[in-house]
Amino acid sequence: MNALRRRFQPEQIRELVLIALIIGILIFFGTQIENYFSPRTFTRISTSVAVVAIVAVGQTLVILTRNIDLSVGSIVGFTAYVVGTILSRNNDIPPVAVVLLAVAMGAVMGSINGLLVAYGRVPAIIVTLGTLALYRTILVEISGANSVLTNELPRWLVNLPPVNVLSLGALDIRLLFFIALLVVVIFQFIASYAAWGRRLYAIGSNPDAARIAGFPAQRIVFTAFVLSGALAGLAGFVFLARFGNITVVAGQGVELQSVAAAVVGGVNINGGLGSPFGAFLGAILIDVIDNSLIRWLAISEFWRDALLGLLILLAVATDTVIMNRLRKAWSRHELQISGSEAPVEKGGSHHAA
Amino acid sequence: MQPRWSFMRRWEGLLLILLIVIIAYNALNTPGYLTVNNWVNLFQLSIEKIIVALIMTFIIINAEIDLSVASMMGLSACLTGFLYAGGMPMAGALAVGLLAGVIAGLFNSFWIGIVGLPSLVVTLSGLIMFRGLAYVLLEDRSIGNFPAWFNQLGQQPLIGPFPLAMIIFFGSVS
Amino acid sequence: MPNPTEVRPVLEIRHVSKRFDATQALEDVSLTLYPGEVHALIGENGAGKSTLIKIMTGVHRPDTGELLLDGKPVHVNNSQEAQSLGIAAIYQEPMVFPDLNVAENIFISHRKRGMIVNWGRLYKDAAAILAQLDVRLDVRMPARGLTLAAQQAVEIAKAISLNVRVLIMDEPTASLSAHEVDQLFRLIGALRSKGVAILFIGHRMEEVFRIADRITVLRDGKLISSRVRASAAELPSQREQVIREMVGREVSDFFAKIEVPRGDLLMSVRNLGKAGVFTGVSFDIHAGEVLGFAGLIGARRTDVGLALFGIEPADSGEIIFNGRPVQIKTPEHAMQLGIAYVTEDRRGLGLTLPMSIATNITLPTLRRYLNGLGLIRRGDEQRTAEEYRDRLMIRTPSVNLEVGKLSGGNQQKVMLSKWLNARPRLLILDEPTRGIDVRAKAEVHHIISDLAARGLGIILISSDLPEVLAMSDRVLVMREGRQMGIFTRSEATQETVMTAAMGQHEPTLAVQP
Repeated sequence: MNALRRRFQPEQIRELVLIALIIGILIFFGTQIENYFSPRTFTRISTSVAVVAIVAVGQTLVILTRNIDLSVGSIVGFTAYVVGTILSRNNDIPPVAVVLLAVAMGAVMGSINGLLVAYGRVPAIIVTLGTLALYRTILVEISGANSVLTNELPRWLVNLPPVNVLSLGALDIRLLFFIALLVVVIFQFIASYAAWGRRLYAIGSNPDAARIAGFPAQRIVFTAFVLSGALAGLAGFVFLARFGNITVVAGQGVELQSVAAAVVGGVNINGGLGSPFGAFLGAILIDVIDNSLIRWLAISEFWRDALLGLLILLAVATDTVIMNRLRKAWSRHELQISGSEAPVEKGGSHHAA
Repeated sequence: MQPRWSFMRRWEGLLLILLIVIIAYNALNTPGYLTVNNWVNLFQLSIEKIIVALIMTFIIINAEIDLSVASMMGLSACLTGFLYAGGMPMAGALAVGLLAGVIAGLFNSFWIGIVGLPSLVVTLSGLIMFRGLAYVLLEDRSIGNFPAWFNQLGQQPLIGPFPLAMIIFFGSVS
Repeated sequence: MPNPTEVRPVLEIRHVSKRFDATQALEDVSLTLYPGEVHALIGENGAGKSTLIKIMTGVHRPDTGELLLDGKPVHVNNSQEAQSLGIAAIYQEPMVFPDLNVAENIFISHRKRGMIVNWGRLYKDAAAILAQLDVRLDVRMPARGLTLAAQQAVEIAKAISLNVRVLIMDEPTASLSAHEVDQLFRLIGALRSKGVAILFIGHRMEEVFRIADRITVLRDGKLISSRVRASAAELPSQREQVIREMVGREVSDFFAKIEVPRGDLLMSVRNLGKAGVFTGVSFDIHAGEVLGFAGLIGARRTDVGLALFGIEPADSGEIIFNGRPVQIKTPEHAMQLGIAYVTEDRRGLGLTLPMSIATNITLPTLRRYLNGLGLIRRGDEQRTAEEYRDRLMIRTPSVNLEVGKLSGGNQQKVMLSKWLNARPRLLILDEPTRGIDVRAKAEVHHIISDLAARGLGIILISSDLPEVLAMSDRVLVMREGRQMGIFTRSEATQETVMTAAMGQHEPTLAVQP
């Protein structure tokens, strides 16, 4: 039992609970809705979660440092629209260049956030609220209230959503979902195994200590914002591929969805705790509930938002109340393991003063 | 330094100057800008934001934030409409709508003040929840046909040329 | 003990000076640190110790002088450079990352371990370093659960892992139990044997003389002495000498209090205590009397003040105010009784910096300035503020000026005005002249003396020993939450008070009239 406790921190338990919750909810809806356990359901949920999942990963990186990025919704809309418009005029641009363009645009927009927050010392909530409005306004201006239309986009883009990467039996793993999976895996690796990623946790855990600890904390926070923007740009590309028709209000609300996904997924809003994988699970949980409520005949679909809001509140409340107790119990137990409350020496005896 | 002038050097002074510049620019370039009619319209358009902003000042001064105010507004309004369409007299429906706003605020303050959760996430969930409750009430319908006196109150001049909205504005500011 | 003539120094600080606005924090200070040696730096609060540390760790740059590492001049511009030079500091409050585990805390600053974390190796290396120090801790444990002493051990392990050559320890024992201090000293022993030079700043004489090889005394930014620790036989006299050097200023430089006949008994305190904070505080105070509270930082004198004012009430003992026993549980009650407390934190707690002088002065007594409708009578506010401006000589063209823009001395006077306006009978002043210029200091002393002459009882909490001695009729000395004794004006000298403050005496609980 002790060995188990040594292996798993309370945060990992939370992720297991999330998985159990998702499974439980899937089973519940399976009993309520006909043909719930079909490949179509999997496809529907997986493609719809892709955009938010990618953005939520970037948001997690920023939240871990005790900051927040509210501009991602505008970045998603901006990149989707601009890339879509460019493609409409030049159908021949190679796909890889298109993706790179979206990511680069997002990175530039994220770097503005990063500069102001990390070096300008302006609070992140204010900077990103400002860029949320700024980027959206620029989009409205340059669009002239036109929309991107599906029939003007190159065929390969429009045909992207149904493309499968691989099929496991009857389940199709769509390309767009696969991109999201890839993003989650890569950044989960970075968060767990890369020195850069570990420093994100340090910065959120104790910003004062991080400043004098001997690693470049400001640069790391800046990079987190650039990555958040870049991932939002990537999500913009996925958004474009999925919907085709892009209006100037594209992506509105995505920032709140990504924060909700992260928070439900166990990322602590004060930084230092949580993981991209957790945010991914949070996004899935929210999307499963969202998608399933529509099909559930017992309750009108209009309860969606109300239940969703309640879910987020409960997630954070349990986080705070239960996790605090769990953490205390963990620490108390481990202190006993090491023998005493203070460093213990071998063969220690008191010397005369 | 007299208090009046030190006020000018603060951020609010800068905003005031900006406001004067914008008004001057518009007055010169747009005919009819300085008429009472136009100004009444301007206020009518922003009155909700102004009231909410005034209240938010106190919240933000306390280093907290409330993301759910818009949804609370919507819920209040929808509840009022819902009750009125269901047959309740308008005055009663209004009262209940206002009460709903108070209850929503209390709900937020319970989680933030008593349980101690961060205000960002509580009001984020509130934003979604209150809007959701408004959806439950009205679904995808819309409700109009409010009594004439109610429409009059909101849209027509009340005292002299000034509608209720402006009176509320000046009252709240002082 | 290494012989200075054979071993070469690790770090030499030569003729370093540093000035902050009006204060000369350091003046021509030179210090030498040898490998494997514990060099104790002692001095009163404000002697310049923390400025010196900040220069060594790159937070500040010296105005004059230089630092030599292994004989070569170096410039330390930030914490990263200090780290790469092998200079590290451990403070009273450990700077660990609570959400990371012990092993990560040790290695988080390392730039040379590569971009990918090898967790297996991380845990093994961390355990190895802890083993070197003979410390047993679970390296997978999050730092959050560790006690202060354990967190310190982690910081020491971190320093060792970075091949620290100079380790500065700033009051490391302040929050440790006796048992934990023993363990810390064993760790210091381990560091010593690795050739690390240790700069140890401490206030407890018995600890300093137990652990130090060399002792340097700073006073008012100047180096007073630097000597090797004496042999056992000579120790007591060296201790006395060192204490004398710490405080030796001319008392006559300061304003001496006017003799005032002692009035009626205002308050009697018997055995006042607050669990875990202070204990056994007993004294009487009369109208017209100034009772000084002397002691070092950490003596908990402020906590006694907070208890008497009801902000952090005591949980044992009794208070008799004006002949009647009282339980002071809230500041409102304290104010009703006629007690006022002027905080030492004037920028944070004592004043509302963005608001005007007049607003600040009337804040605690606002009720007096309200008209029937509950609105503030601005005219009366102004008048009150102007009265105090004249009376206390606050230098400002207008009482509507933002308090944040005043000098420290004037801010202090605004705080005083605020509380004098509450018409107290007992005034508790906490560090009233800290950080203000000489002229304002003299003016504040004059004000205090004047108030006593008008019949106020005054408790003067101050770390400025000459100030306490000059202004007080009697001096109560505290050490780490315990009352060590009360000295009459004739008994109180710098030596006797400082010795009591550092714990050379047995505590005497007898109350002296």
